[in-house]
Amino acid sequence: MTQLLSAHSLTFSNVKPAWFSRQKRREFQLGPLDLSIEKAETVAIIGGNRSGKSLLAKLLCGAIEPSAGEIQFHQETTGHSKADLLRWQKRQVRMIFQRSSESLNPALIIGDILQEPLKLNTDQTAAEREERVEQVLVQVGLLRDHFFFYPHMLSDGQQQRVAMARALILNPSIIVADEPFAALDPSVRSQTVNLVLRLQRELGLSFVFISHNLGIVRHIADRIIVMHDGQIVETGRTDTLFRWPKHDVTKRLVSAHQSLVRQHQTHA
Amino acid sequence: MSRFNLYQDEFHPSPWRQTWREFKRSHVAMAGVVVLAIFAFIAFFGPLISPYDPTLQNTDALLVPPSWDASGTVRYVMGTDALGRDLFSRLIHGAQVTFGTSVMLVLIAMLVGVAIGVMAGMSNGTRASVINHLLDALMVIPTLLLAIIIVAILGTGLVNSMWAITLALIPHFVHHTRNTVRELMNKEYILAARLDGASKTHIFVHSLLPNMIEMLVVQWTIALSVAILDITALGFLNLGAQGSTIELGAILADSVNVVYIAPWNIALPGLTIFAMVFAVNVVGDGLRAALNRRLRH
Repeated sequence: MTQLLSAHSLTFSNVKPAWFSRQKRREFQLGPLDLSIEKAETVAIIGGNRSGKSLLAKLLCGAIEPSAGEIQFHQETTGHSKADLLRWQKRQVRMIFQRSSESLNPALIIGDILQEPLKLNTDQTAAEREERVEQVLVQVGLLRDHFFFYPHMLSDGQQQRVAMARALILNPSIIVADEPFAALDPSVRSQTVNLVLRLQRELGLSFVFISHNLGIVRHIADRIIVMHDGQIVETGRTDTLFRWPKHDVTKRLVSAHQSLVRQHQTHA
Repeated sequence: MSRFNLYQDEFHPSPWRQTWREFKRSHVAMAGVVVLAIFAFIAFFGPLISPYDPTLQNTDALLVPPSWDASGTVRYVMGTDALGRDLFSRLIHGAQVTFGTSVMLVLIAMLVGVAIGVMAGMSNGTRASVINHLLDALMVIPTLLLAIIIVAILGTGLVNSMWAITLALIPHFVHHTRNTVRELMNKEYILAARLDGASKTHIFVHSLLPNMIEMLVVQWTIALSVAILDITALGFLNLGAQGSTIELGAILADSVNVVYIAPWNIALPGLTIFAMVFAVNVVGDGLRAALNRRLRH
């Protein structure tokens, strides 16, 4: 497999000078951490609360700038200045948010929501944009007619599909999703998981996602990154990690999951 | 395989058409629109339909009652005032001034207020909080009082009172715009737009503004009714329209002396002001409800 993206000693800290507060602010530092993402692989990031998972996702897609370290692309990029690279990163790594209902502008129709990235990042004509929007809508399993719908007219699952379409529309190579399945009910969740797998097969996407649901992680992830307190404590292939967890945190997460599975099996 | 598409003629109404369709469902609001349309027509074409020159004094017809009174005459549909001027013509000219200036000054106040409010809402730090807290402190003073103070500084007159009311209304727009923008800026779709590489202006026009329209409509109608009441109040207090300028509040002030012998001179301008404010409020409420239904069915 070819490496698509790698990060070297990526660091982010939110320590601010505390001028007026009595106690020093509780500080949080992410990293320094190294990681790489390969083409067409699925990487799951797991870990407890406040372990820096969401922060890492935001760093990857360029929503926040790292305090130190860098993200490298092993691909032809369109420019070499810092701004060019950031723009390239934002186009190539697209984010899906946890609650799709909040990541879609309630005052715009789906067509306008999906056209926005195209307007900002390409110089396609209106007709070309509409064609592309319809193409992506069909790709994520919606209808062309949904172009004219407002987000509130769609169900949760459909909204999630629109969020997916919004991420796909710029032909990215990596999709980063922050708990994409958490807010969905089980049947819609499995539909969405299958959709992700299908899209990955069709388009050769890399998919990085954060999840608390180790069942899904085990089902779709090729590789797992375990985070704790701003550090990557363990990383490895899914099978290996689930069978022979090394770090304490991983052991705890895996055993918690397994006891749940066992309970479920005995009850069934 | 079917050879024709059943849904071929499906029609997707534009957002404004959807709002209009929702709006039409409320009959009270539609009545308000009709009244407002009449006032808007008067504001544009008033002088063309008024039967007399509003300043023409007919000494043979002082305090003629309205035409529906036993001693009234059809020549003066709504009677005349103490100087023998036709009340109907005066009402038309007065409504033109009151309504036209109010709409204009609220538009100016909205443009300025929204611009400042968006700047304050989208930036953070000292500049934003200075704008915010200074203007919030101004909101403690009622607009009419603030307008009277400003008129006291600038001097009386219709134009000065317009400036005064505009300045007094701006803090309200700033406050509400800033609050809305602040709230919206935390939404994930703003972050998503920023990740698409949207500039601040783009975010404002394409992501914030569509969500702000409901608030703006509500604030605009509230401000319009406040402006109408303030303009007439200043006119009534002789601080606004002066001398030959005909304005509903000034007409009221002129007729106070003859209120016992010619009550129609007070009642008819008063009813006109009431109809104006009532129609504005009804239409504003209907629009707000329609936008609300469209966005959150």
